[in-house]
Amino acid sequence: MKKSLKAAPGSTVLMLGNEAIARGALEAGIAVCSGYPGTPSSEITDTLAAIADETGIYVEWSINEKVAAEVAAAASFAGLRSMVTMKSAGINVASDFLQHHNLSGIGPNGAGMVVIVCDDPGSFSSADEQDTRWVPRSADVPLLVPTDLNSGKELLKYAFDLSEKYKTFVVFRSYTRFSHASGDVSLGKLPQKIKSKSPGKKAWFDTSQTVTPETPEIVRLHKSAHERNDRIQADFEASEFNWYQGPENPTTLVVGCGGGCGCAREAVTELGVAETVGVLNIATLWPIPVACIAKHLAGVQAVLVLEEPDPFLEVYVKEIVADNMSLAGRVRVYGKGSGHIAHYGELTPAAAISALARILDIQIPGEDTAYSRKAEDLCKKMVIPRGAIWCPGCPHRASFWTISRAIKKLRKKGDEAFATGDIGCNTMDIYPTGYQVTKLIHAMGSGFGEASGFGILNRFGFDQTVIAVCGDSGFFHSSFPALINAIHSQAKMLAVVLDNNATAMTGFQANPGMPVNAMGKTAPLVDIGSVCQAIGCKVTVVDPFDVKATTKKVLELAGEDGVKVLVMKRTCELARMRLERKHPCFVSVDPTKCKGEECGFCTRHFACPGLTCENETGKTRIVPETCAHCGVCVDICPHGAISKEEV
Amino acid sequence: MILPMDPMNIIITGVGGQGTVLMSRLLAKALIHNAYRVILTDDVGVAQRAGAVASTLRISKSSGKAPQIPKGRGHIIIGMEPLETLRRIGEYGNPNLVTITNMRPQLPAGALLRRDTYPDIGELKSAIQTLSKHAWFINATQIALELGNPLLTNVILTGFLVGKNLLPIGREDVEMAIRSLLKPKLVDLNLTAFYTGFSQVI
Repeated sequence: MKKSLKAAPGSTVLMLGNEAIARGALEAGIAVCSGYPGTPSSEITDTLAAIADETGIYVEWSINEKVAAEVAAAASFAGLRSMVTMKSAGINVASDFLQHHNLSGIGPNGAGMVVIVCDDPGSFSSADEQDTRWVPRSADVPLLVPTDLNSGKELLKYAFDLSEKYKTFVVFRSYTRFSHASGDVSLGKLPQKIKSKSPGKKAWFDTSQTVTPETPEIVRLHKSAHERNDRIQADFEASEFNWYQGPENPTTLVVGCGGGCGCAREAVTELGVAETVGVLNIATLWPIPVACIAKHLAGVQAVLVLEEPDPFLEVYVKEIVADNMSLAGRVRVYGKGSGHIAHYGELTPAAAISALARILDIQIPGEDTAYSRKAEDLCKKMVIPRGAIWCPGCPHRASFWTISRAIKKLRKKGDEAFATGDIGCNTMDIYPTGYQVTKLIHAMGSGFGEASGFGILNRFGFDQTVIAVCGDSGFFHSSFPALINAIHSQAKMLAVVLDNNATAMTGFQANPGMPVNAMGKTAPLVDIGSVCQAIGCKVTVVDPFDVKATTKKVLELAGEDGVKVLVMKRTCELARMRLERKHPCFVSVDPTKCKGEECGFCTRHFACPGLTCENETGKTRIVPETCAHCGVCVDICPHGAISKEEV
Repeated sequence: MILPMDPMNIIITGVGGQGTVLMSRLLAKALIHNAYRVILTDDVGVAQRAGAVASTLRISKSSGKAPQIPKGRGHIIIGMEPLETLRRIGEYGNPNLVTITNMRPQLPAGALLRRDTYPDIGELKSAIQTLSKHAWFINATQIALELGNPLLTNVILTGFLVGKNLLPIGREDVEMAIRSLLKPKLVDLNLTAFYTGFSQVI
């Protein structure tokens, strides 16, 4: 991205979808970008943060999506173009603010504000398959969905203009196959200088009126939001971002939104039906361009709607058909409602091809069934799963190992102890190579909130030990309010903060627990232990690599009343390796002491991918490609067979 | 050079951490330099943590292709790990498929923990051969270790692929991509790896 900043307008460079979004924002002249990391959205703000110095923009990783939206809104109120980025789940956090900002608008002096939310259909890296298109729909604000990288970049620039024209924030809804696709992107011009819309061209908030929906006139504001939408709809009817490709008088129409458009074109080409089937792409999704869609439905017998994951556009296509006397009863709408496309999972070209073939009642060409059967048989016979795991050397393996040991001891005494978890690398406890001590995982910070709730149930006979777990970034995001809640409600709670000095899962973004900000500048560190102490928690800090002492501490604190915070502090191995570029020690196994498979404690139970049981000897050996030589297994081995040398 | 089919669909697969993303970027950069339109997808996020990953690359003279390759429509699969080659054959394979496979098995966690059994390497090789029109096998990790770093596997495979003349790009295009995408101090080592892979083609 740094290099492409210097590239001439009109030149073509390879860009990730999220980089194209970042570039579009720069071309649109943004001054401020804020966000909270979350796959598949993180690279947008990461990219802008890396070039903040050269461009003069301000970029921050805020503590959560609501604060991020408020930070972006402030810039917009002060006359500066701004953008906020988040993943699908993040819009639930930001919504409390956004669902009020929708009626107040961006204020008399407001500059364009765009909310970027990246959905993850197919849930490649999410705990949900939420379709966030309903949020701008319910907030009565415009919604744009990009189709491909080049037009997507232009669509984002249009979003800023639209936001200023109608004095409302605009939602730009991306998705995994846009954000994480890469391709050739043609560069536009960058502004010479960041300009405020305010008089004097400096950032300034106009205090001549109060910008709020909290007025006796709330219903009037709601009414004007709808009137605003009527005007936006008129713009959308003629938008060049919605286009039709196909014969003049098609018999069948495929309407695509986002990734659906590429799948639609793939299906038409693959089935060789370009002479009778047309493709209509809708990128300005809310308010729905009703007349544009109705025009293309005239003369068509069947329409297939391709979008993901919910039937959003499909519902409105049906409404258009029902509302239109010349279409009702004549045009059949296919998609999720008809069972031709699944309501869940990623929309694939294969699914689109099969749905269209079914509607047209034609065979899918070129399928070699003998080959497919053979491939299926051989794969079934040989292919075994390969799921994600904690990286070798990950402090979380050691941390969860100590928690699992403590829980095991408690369970031996009849206490059905368990952990409540958080989103991020610590989620991997529930995967096959974790220890499965985490029994509840929901939203960011929910582990703390749930534990606070369990902590007051003793009056109803609840006597299980609950260990709440969160990461350092998750602590600031939303775990901390739950901790205050636990203090005030006098809950009994053991809260473990896995402080690995990184927002690791999403790519090592800065958080307030680190002495650095998104732009790589020194920033005041907010110490997790001190914050917890200040609200009345008993705080202990341990190194999880000291397995024995940490396990002992977990057990000791679990038995105490009150709210206890145990900070397990150890830097993420990937982050450490990036800086230090060498192993901390050298680990080896003494085969004469190793009891091998009959023991299996290090391989089957501790389950580190750096250790395996040698087929020939039946003894444990180090896997040289994967072992991070962290040395934790030295303390795990009950027979003293693993040792480490300092290097 | 001409594009043998349009779009041409390439799958680069391996284990999270092996560098499928860098390989897809080197090829894409070289292709864009030759005025081809490319669209790539990468597995990032949770799958990167030693999970099964794939990058897909679609090459065309025109735009507008879906990022995802339809089932059964792969032209070339480059596997940085043999089990992963077979996994993607199941998804993208067809009788005209060409495969290039690094023969170094990397055991999934389930196999390390003896919950699953990694297939016999001979049987795995023969399955890949049976399901490919042309199947090449190379000990890229071994070569990478000889060059001093197993992480060079991806660049060695890139060299082999370009040496096989399967893509409409030349070695000088990839050399440019290596110089442009990698940190200056890593360029020489990666160029050595690239040309070592290139020269494996006999």
